[in-house]
Amino acid sequence: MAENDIALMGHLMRRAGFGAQYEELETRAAKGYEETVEELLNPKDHPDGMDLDLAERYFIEWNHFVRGVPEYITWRMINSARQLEEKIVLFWHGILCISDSKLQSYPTEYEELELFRRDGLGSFRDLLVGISKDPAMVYYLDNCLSHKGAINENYGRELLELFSLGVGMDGEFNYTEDDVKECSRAFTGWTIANSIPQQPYGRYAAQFLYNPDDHDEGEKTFLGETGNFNGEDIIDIIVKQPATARFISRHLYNFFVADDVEVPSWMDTPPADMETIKMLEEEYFRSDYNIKSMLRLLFNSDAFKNARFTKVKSPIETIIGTLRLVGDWATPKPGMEFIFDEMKYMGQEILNPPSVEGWHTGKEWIDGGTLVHRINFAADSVSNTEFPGVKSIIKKLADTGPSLSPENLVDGCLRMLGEYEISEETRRMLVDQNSKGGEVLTDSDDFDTTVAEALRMIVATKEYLYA
Amino acid sequence: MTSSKKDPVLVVLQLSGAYDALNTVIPYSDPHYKDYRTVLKVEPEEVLAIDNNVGFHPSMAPIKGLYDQGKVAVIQGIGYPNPIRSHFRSMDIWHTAAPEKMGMDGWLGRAIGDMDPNKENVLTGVNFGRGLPRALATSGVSVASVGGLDQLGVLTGIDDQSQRTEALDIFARMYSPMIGSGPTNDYLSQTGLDALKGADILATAPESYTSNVEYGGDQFSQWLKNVAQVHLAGLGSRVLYTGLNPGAFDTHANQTTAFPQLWGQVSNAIEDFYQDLKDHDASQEVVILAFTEFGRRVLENGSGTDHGSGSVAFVIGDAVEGGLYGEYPSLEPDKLDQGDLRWNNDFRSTYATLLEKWMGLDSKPILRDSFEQIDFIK
Amino acid sequence: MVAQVAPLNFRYSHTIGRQETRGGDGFFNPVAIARGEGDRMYVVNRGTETPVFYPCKRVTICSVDEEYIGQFGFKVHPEDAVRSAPDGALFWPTSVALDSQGNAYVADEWLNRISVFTKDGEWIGKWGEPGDGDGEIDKPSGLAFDAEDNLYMVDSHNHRIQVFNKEGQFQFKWGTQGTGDGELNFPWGIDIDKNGDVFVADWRNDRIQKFSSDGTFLMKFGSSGKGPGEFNRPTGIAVDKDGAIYVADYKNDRLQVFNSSGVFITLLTGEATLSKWGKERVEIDQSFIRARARSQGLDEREKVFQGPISVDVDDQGRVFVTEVPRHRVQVFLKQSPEFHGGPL
Repeated sequence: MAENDIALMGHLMRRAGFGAQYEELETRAAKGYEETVEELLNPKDHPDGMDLDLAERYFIEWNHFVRGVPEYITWRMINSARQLEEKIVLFWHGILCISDSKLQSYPTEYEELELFRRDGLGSFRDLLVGISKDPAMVYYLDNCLSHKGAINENYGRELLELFSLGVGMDGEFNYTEDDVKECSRAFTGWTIANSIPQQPYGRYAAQFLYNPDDHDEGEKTFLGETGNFNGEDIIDIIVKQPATARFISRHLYNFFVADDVEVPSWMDTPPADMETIKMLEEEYFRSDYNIKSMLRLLFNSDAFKNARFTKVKSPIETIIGTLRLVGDWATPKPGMEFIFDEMKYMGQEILNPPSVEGWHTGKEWIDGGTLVHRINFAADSVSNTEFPGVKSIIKKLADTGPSLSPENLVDGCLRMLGEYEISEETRRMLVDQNSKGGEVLTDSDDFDTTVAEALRMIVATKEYLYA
Repeated sequence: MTSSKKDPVLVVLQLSGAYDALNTVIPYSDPHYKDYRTVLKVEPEEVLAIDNNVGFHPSMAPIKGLYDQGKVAVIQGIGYPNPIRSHFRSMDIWHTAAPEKMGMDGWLGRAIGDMDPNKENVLTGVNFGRGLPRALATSGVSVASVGGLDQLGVLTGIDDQSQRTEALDIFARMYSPMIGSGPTNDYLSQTGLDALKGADILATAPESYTSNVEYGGDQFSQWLKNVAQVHLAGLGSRVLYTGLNPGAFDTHANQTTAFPQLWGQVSNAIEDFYQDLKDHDASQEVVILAFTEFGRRVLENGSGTDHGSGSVAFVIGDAVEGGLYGEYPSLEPDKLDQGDLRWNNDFRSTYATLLEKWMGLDSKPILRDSFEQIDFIK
Repeated sequence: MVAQVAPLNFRYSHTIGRQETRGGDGFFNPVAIARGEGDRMYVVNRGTETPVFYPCKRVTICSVDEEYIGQFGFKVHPEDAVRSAPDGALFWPTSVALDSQGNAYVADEWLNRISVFTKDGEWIGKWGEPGDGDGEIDKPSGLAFDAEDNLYMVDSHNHRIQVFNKEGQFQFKWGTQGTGDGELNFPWGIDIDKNGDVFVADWRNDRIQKFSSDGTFLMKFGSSGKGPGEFNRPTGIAVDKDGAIYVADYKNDRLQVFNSSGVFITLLTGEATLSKWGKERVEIDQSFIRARARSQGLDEREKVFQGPISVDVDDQGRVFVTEVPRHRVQVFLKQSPEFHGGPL
C-alpha cells in the first residue's frame, strides 16, 4: 500500500476521530478513503466495537447515568469504532456549551450528549430546536427564568451570538439588540419542570416543559420578519441567514481542517481559506442545513487533505489519541478519574468548558503549565512497554529486519504514530540522538527500550503538538 | 534576571472546598450561634477570642498567635453578588474576578502581565499544584506551574539523570525557534523554552536554602516550603500560588473531625512559613491572602454543613494592619440569605487593596472596574 | 367471564435506604443483598471510584425495618486496588452470601478474591487466586451456599460455576463459554433452591439456566427482548421456598417472576415510596420538603425501578430488590395463592 494512503488515512482519523493505531490505518486505507469517510459519516450502519454491556457491568454508575458521565463519554471516545460519532459530540459540546459546574446534574448533561450523538450529523435546524428544548441548556442559559413580560435575554442572546449567526460578518453586525429581545420573547414558556431533589434517592434528569401560559403570544419582528413567532419560527429564520452558513462553516473548518482566528474575531477577520468556506456555505443551503453533507464535501476536499499538521491538538485529542495509540483502556479497570485530572491539568476538562464561549483553541491550548503536562503525559504513555499498543509498535518494527539504522528507527516510529511529519531539523536531532550505538539489532534485549525512548522523544517534539 | 528582592510579593493560598466561615471566625456571643449549631458549636470558653463578639476556632491557635502580633487582617462578610453554591463556578468567580459574566482569564494572570509586560522573567508567577488555577491563566502570560520542587519540568519520567539531562538538551534544541516557521511555532518554541528555563531556575532554589523551620509532611505544608524556597532564592517571583486539594474543606459530614484537622494543618503551615521568612529577614516582603470559594449553611445538617454563601478571608504579613475588617453578617433569621450568611463585602475590594496598596499596581484594568479599598495594608 | 387473578401476587411493602456516600444510614450504588438471621440484611455498596467519598464501598448491615446496625469493608484508592490490598478492602464488590453460621462472604471482581467477615462484620479471612485453572477465579460475580455450606461461585470471565467448600478449597466446576445448553456467557447471579438445584442468570445470553447440584443441565428459559419472559441482561436471581423464581431484569428495569418450570407469571416495575431514612434526610430542611412538593411527576418517576440489580427472598415471602442508581431496596410481600377460609 502506498505510504501516502496511510498518511492520508492517519490524517482523516486524527481529525474525524481521535487517531488510530497503524494496523487500523492499514485496514481502513485498504478499504479506501471515500469508503472510510462514508463509514464515519454513517455511524449507525456500523458496529461500535465497544462491548458496552460488559463495560457497564463494571462501570456500574453508567446505569441511568446518575453519575459516571465523564467516564462514559471518555470510554466511548477511546473505544468506539464509530469515531466521528464521538468527535461530533465533542465538536458540539465545545459550541453549544453547558457546564457541570453550573448544572451539577450528570443525568441531565448525559441527555444533552445523547442529543449531539443522535442529531449532531443531521440538520442544523433540528439541532437548534433540540438544544433549545434541552433541559441542560434551558437551565444553563437561564431560559427557565425568562417569562412573558419579564424576559431573561441570556439564551436569546447566546443563541444568536454563539450558537448560530455570530455577532457580525464582513464587518457588519448580524443582528440588533432589538432582535435579541424579540428572540428572547419568542422563547418564553420554553422552560423545565421543577426537579426532583437529589435527596434522598439521587438525581434525576431534568425535563423540558412548554408552558403556553408563560409564552409571549404578541407580534414580534425578528431580522426583518414580523409575525407571532414561537421559538421554532425564530430558528427557521436563523438557519436561512447567510451569516449562519458562514458561522457553522467556520466552526467546521476550525475544528476539522485548520486553526484560523477564533469566534470573537469573525466579524472583522475574513476566513483564511474563503474558497473552502464558500464551498461549505453553498452545501449548507443545498443540503437543507445538513452537517453530514457538509462534512462529506469537506473530508473529500483537497483543502482538507492538504491540511495535515495545521492544527494544535486539543488536550482531549492529545489524551484520547495517546490512549488509543498505546491501547490502554480496551477493558474496564479502576482509575479512570486520572484521565479527567489530566484533561484538567492540560486545560480541557470535559463537561466543564470555562464559559459559554467554550474553549479557546489553537495555540491558546498551550501555556507553560499545560505544555509540561501534555508532554509528560504523552511521553510517559508511549514509553511504557507494558501497553499493548507500544508492544505492537515494537513488534512491527522488529519484523522489518534484523537491524535498524538510526534513520530507520526514527522514521519507523514516526510511521507507527500515524505517519507523523516532522521538520528535517528535528528529525536530524532525533537521528543523532539515536546514532550513538549505531545500528540497533531488533532481537537485542534492549530493543524495547530503544524504541520506547525514540517514541518518547518524538512525542515531546513541537511537531507532535499538532495534528 | 533582575534581582528584585524588595519588590512586594503576594502569596495566595486557595483553601478549597469552602471552609465553614461560621466555625472559622466564630460569633460566639451571638445567642443564635448555638441554636443553629447544636452539634458543631464551639463552646465560648474554647473559642480563641478576638474580642467580645468573635474569635478563632481553637484549631487556629497559630493564626491567633500572628493575630495577636498584629499581623492578620480578618476580612469578614466577604462574598460576591448573586452567590452561587457550586464549588467550581464559585471558584471561577474568585479566579476571574468576574461574578456577573463567565470570565475566561485570571485576575492574577492579568496582574502578572502588568508587572512583567515584556515577559522578562518566566518566574514572575509560580504555582505549586496540579494544573494551573484559572486565577493565573491569562492569554499571553506565562506562568510556571509545578507539582513541587522535586518534580520539575518536562520528561520527568526518565529516571536516569544523565539520560534525562541529554534528553532535555535535545528538547531545548528542538524547541529553538526556527526562522520562518510562523507565529504559532514561535509561540510554542518560546513556551517550551520558558518551561525548561523556569524549571532549571526553580531547581536551584532548594540549593541555597537553609532553614531551622521544620514544615509538616503534608502536601500543603511542603508546597508552602517550596514557596519560601523560591522567594528566598530571590528569583524575582511576585505572585506565588498554592492551596489545598479540591474539596478539602467540603465538610458535608463528619465536620467535627475533619475541620479542626484541616485548620490545624493550614494554620501550622502558615505559622511555619511566616517564621521561616522572618528568620531570613524577609517577612516584610510578603503578604499572604488565604481564601475559600464560599461559606457554608448556617444550619448544620446533622454532622456537617452544606453549601452556603458569605465567608471570611485572611490577609497576613508584616505589612498588614492587623484587625477585623468588614462586618460580621447578622445571624438574625430574617437577615439570612436563604439560610446563609449574607455577604456584605465584595471580594474585589480585597483584591483591589492588595493590587494597589501592596503590589503598587493600578487595579482598575486588572479588575475591570474600581472597587472601594480597605485599610488593611500599612 | 370468570373473574380470575394470577396465582402469584405481590403487594408493595416499603422502601429501605437513601443515598449516603459516606456510610451510615443509607446506601451508595448497592449491588447485592442477602437476608441474614432475624430481621437482618446485608447490602453490598459498590460505591464510586471517584477518589473522594470514603467509605462509600462497604457492606451495610441493617434491619428489614430500616434500623442501621453496622457496616464493614472499606474502599481503597484506585492505585491501591491491587492483589496486596489490605484485608477487608473492597474495590468491585459484587455479591454477598451467608454460610450456616451467618458469616458473610463477599466477592470482589477486581481484587479476584472472596473476603470473609463474621455476621457482625469482623474480618476473618480471604481467599482466591486469579487465573483460569481449577479453583482459580476471574471476576467472581454471584455467590450462593447450599445446605451443606458448599459455596457455588459464578466465575464470570471463565464462564463457569465453581464450587468450593467454605474454607475456599476447590470441589468441582462446570460450564464453558457458549450459547448452547449448559454453556454460559458472562454469567452473573446464582441461587440454589431447597432441592439443591442451581439457578444461574446467564447474563449475556439473556436467559436463566437450571442445573442439578452437580452441574447437570436441567432446563433454560428466556431470550433477548423486552416482552414478558424476555430479558435484557438479567443480573440477580432468587428462588423461594415454593420454587418461584425471581429475576432482576437489569436493563429492562423490572423484576420478573416465573414458576418453578420457568413459565412467566408476572412482573414488577417498582412502587417505591419515601423510606424512613429518606424521610429523616428530607425533614432536615423545609426547603427539601417544598422542593419535593413542587416537583412535577415526582411520584411517578421516583417509584419505578431503575437498575434493579439483585433480588433476595426470605422465608416469610418478602422480596427484596436492590436498585443501583437509586440507593435503595424495595420490599414486596408475596401473597399466598392458597385460600385461607373465612367469609367472602
